[in-house]
Amino acid sequence: MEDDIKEMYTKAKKAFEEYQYWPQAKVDEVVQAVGWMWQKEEVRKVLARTAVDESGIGVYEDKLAKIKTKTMGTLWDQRGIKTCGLIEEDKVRGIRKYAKPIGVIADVVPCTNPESTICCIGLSTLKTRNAMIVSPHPRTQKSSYLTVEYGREALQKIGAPVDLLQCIKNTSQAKTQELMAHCDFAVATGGAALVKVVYAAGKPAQTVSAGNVVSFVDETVPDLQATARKIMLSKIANNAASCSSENAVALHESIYDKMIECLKKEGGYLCSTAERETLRQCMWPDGKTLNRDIVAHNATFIAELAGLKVPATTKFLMVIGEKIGREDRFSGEKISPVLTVWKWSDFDEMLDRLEKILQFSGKGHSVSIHTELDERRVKLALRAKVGRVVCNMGHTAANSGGWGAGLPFTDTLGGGTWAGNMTSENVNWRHFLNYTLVSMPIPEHIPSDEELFGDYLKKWERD
Amino acid sequence: MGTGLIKAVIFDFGQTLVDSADGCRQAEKEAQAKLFGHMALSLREKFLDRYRQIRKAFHDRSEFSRPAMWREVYHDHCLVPDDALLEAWEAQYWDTVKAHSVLFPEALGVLKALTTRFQLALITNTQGQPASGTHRLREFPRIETYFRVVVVAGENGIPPKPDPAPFKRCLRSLGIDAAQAVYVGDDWRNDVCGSRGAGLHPVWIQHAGVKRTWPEVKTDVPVITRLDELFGLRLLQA
Repeated sequence: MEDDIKEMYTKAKKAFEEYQYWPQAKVDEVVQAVGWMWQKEEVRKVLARTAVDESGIGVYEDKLAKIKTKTMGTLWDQRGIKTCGLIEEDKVRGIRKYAKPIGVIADVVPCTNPESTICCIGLSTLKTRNAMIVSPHPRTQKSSYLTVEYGREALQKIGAPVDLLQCIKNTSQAKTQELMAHCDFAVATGGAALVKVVYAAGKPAQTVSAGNVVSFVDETVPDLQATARKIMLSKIANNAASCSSENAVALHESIYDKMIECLKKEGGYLCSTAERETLRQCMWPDGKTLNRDIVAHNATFIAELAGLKVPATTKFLMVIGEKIGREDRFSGEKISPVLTVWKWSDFDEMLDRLEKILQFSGKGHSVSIHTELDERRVKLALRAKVGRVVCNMGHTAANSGGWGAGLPFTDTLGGGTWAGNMTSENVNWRHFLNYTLVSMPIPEHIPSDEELFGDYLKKWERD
Repeated sequence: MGTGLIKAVIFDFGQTLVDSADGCRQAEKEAQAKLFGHMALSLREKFLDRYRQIRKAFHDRSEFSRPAMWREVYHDHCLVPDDALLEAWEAQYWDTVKAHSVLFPEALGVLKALTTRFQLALITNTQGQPASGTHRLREFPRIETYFRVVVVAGENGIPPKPDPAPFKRCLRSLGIDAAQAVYVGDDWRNDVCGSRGAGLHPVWIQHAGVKRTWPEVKTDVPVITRLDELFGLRLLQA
């Protein structure tokens, strides 16, 4: 029977039971085999085309590039990493640390990245000797299924158990729920609807937060045009389908006018007050729900849908930020090439505003800053309740991994407890392991009061 | 075909004995409008395409719960539905269907005539109503009395048609073999294929007055366009 979830789990478990004892060298060969398959141009072309055709969202060329970057980046982050058997030994503490797999992992995949999400999580679960069953989004189930099929082909080529990778063919919410009930662990990169399903299953799970990246630009930036270009390229990548896409810029008042002009030169169209209202009515027809018909579509399509006349060369739409919260939805995540513009003169005051913005939308995710002042970067990092602060780079080019940034490659960005997630990190191989610690006797040492409380006692005494 | 061997005529309910096509169509339109409005979309045709695809997938799986189907539509659009709202819409949906449902004009006469010669029974899939035992049959007490056995498939642990289980359960209750029963229904998959799979003699009713696109299939199953055409079938002649 097609998509018999119980049977899929049984097959995955059987594959896992064989694979869980494979040595590092063989495991590394497995990830190389699957990674090599997914980065092939002919494979990426099929996956990107299928994803764009079936979902009607995103940009083919961007997906083509993204699948390659994410696949190779995930492999790059894994190179030389020990994930099998003894991985650490602390002779002083008498501790040996053994890495163990989890079992069968359910991977709930979004329609915005139905292929590259599987590449990142798939390579991570294989590196950690787990099996994975993908629950695709109904809009993009063909591209997700194909991605897994290519992975299975690569597994077969080298004699690895093919059922380490499986995908539900005709998905439904009920099947996703059933999958959750069977699997040992879940990772969900979907939006609120899917995350709700995952948590309802009561299984340990890695989930993600919604993005709402605010990108600060201050008066110390030496080349505003170059910064505007970085922001534009990042903003329009895959029609802003990424949760890492800039949703707002916060411009210092001294460079505000000049930066707006720079953004316009890069294809930004600044809406008038009347046009802003027209756009708002299109983007939130009921005043609260983001119109799914504009998500990850290009700027001219959205403008036309809204009834705005914009130049054909428009790459992104800009609106002036007014209020924060439900009363002005432009202050939240838009998942489209629409950029809200804030102006600030006092950095601390803008940080206060940022806190409110993130409280409304995007808490836990990430922020961006373009500045030459490191103290501002540090201050932003200390103040903002986010997992990542990306500095002087296009946000999507760095936040979930990039060749010019050190953040781990992933499509699954944790937002920490701020967002109700288990981790605030970029989810990769690290998050799919159990550890067994072997403890040997060491010379006993019971610390003295002096060792534990020395500084305190000197200052506050014993009373 | 074994004339004289037939002991029972078993009917499907919706679109076989009761014409609720207009009601279902109206209820569907109202539901689609509610979902479209609540989901805050702009592109109606695009939405309807997806809605119809999901509805067909549910029908193909013999899943009839409207809230479950609507939940899937929300899920498809990455939205979380309000369950209380879906329940309210479901109640309104069935109110609309009920308000527009009538017995086919010849139904009572046909049942009355057949009951003198055959045992009559009814096997209907649950329409996904929120509580079991609330099937729309209860709203037509005049026909309910003709049936010795009524099986509502899809609730109380009975799988929905086309699964053979509801057919077998009905035959057991009637105390006859499958070959001794004619089954009359409008749905190709659930009724015609389902009853044939269970060994009964299917009759496919395609009511002439009902606006509907019938599946294009080649079949040797008798096709009728009115219930009283049953009397002309060799199968049911003495």
